[in-house]
Amino acid sequence: MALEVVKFSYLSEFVNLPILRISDNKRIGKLVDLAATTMQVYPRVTGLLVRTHRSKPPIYIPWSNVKRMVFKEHIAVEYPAVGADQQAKAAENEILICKTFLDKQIISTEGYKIVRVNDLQLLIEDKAKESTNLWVVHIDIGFKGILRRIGILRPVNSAFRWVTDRDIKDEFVSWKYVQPTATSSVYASVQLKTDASKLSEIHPADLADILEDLGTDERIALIESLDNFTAAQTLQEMQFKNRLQIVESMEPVRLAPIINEMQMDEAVDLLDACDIQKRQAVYAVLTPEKVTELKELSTLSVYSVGSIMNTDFVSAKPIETAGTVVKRIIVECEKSEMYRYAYVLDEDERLLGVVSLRNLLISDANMLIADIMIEQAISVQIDTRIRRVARLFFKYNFEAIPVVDDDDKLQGIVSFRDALASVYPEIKEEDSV
Amino acid sequence: MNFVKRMKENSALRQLLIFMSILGPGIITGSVDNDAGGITTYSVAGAVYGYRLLWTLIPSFIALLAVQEMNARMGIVTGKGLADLIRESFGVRITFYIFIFLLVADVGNTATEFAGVAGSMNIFGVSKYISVPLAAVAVWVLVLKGNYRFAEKVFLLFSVFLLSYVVSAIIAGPDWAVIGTALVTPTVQFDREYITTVLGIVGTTVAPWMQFYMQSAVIEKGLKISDYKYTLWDVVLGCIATIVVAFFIVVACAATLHVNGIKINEASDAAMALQPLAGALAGQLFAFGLFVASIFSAAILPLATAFYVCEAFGFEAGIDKKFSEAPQFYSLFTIIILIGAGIIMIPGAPLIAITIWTQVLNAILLPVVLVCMMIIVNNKEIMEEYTNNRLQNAIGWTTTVILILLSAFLLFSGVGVG
Repeated sequence: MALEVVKFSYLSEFVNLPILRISDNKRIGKLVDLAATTMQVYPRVTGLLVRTHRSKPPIYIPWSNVKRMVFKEHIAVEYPAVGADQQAKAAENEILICKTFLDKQIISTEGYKIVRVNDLQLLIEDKAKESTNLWVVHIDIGFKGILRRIGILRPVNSAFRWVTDRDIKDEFVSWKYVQPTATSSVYASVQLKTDASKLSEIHPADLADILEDLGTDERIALIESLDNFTAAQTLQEMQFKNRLQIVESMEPVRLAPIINEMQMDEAVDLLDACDIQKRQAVYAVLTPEKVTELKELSTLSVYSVGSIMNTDFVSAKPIETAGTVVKRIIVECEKSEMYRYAYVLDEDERLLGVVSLRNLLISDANMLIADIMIEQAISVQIDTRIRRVARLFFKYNFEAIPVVDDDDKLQGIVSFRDALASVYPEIKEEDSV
Repeated sequence: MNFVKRMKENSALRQLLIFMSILGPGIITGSVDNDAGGITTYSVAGAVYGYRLLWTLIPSFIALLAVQEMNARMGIVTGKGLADLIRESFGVRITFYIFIFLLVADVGNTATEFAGVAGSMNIFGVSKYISVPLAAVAVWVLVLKGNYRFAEKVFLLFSVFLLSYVVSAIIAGPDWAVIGTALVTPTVQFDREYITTVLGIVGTTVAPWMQFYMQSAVIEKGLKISDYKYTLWDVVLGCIATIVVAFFIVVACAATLHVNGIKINEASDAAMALQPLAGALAGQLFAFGLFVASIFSAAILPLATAFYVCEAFGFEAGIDKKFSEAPQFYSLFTIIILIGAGIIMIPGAPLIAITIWTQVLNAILLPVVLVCMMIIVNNKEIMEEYTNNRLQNAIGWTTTVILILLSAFLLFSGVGVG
């Protein structure tokens, strides 16, 4: 294949190029998009989408049919493809790079921010005489990309150089740090799953910020591509109104496992705000135990502590040793934030006492819980007013208070933070603006 | 607690509560709509043509309603700003030209707002060399260093003062029977000045930048499709507020200035001219309303413009970001205020020419933005099942075509007097 020696090129320099038939140099159409496979580290171009007629959908020509490329002039292909063994159709996992990237938003996982794609930089790799590979290596997010697309880069850059004595700076994001927000395949009907592996390193709080800057469809696509636990964490970090928006547009089957991973109080708040059909649909997917638990919390009055309590807590028996309980806390704190205290319960789950993490750590691992626990722990009834609970926090300087029912059975705990947020809704409000 | 329980059971009360909680985007947009440029246009229309142009408010209302409803729907369904959608649907080239025009037009619009500040304060005896720089600094500090959400609520409260135009109009003692007839009797005159004024009224009522503003306000609110019917009411209320205020401005000026054959060029001229005719109070109320409207829009316009431009080109934007994170955004915002206020500070600045050219730019831009909107809102890939119905398409395209015809007429016959 003959090709001018150009190492780097841009997508904008390929789009709209005339496509010629190699046998007679007759124009068969123009290039509208490039298909690429993302199986390797960088996407490799595998096919051309060529519009041959205004009203017809573009046709697919495999990259191996390209016989000649004249930079910024034309691309000559073998057409129609010869030999039955040649694949004349796109593979289902090929993405369209114009449609997926150009003018769309991507997440730069390097800077944890959303940027808009102005152009793509392609690397032309001349391996041997017969094969040339095109790789997508950088995403151009700079002003230079905009100027190049409009076709005024050269004059503007000359003017810029004349004034400042240097070129306009390139702004690239390496493919390694690019997370697309939507993916279109060659087949319009096939919705490719967004591969969110590059997002796993980002903290859920940052992910939530990123999601809030995206459009509705992109948000859902990204949330759905996360694993359930990360999705739950990310949802919890988002503003409530945005959380609700996402939840309302998700399929219950996909939503339920995420709800399942959320903290009980957050899950209840969210489900309570959904409309009834949605709530029922989610209940239908969850396990019956989980549903009972959720329902119990959600029917409570909005002013009592039961409505803000969390049912995730660490419990212990009086005859256990400090070491055993510490080990349990280590396991539990993976999914629960409530590990500052272990609550000591009798056989009937009645609250006997409480032991703080600090006490557990400074005690000998063989000590019995019964010997180090504080008996007559301060607790509140499930229907206690939140205001009163807030006063208790103020008085005793606890980080969490256990909540018991009429039978003195431990039902959950309420954290200082949740009580504060309920008493001063304005704090929560400001926090979420 | 009982009260809350009752409230939840009473469906009418509950609906009202939901409505109150989502109220905002439409009403705020409606208030911003009556900015200095709008007040000027309505005043001039009333002074020059009396009640004869009142009928244009009805088609303006329909167009405004149709356009803002589309914006609200697009915002709710896509969760994306109009700038985002235009960029993603039409590519960088069209976006680039639209936003260059929008930027220039909005610098002009901002200058008009500062002219409104200068004019209204002048009536209270404050020189423009004091009022304009003070207003510019106040706006800059308020938006960047203050709490913008809070400021927006204060402004909204202040927009009640726009009702002062109602008082001004009633004090002026107009002939209501004549007004009633004029409102429903279209008169058409094919001269340049008449068309310019009609275009001015429609262009300032359905100003291009409002569409961007409306859509992002909806997104900011985090509205869902199940909120749509309430949002619709919000939009209707906002449009009614806009048109009612416009109506009373035209009436106030028509009942006094037109009757006495007084010609004006600016809204502050109207306030000045109202004083001997309808009493000092009417004039001062008019000037105060103008001041509030001008400062409100002088804060929102540069902020909004900087935001859309950055949104379209993918620069970081938002007042919650640091300067180092969003340099383009802050620079744009500051430059727009500086140029806008600076133009007014030039002694003997051609204010009327600026107003007219800004309106012409608005009028050219509006059909372009509308065509983009119509294409996007009918795209099933973007709007799913919420594309326009036939009626919406009919109103949308009719508005677009009429605006294109009027703009074309204006452009080819040269620019008239605003």
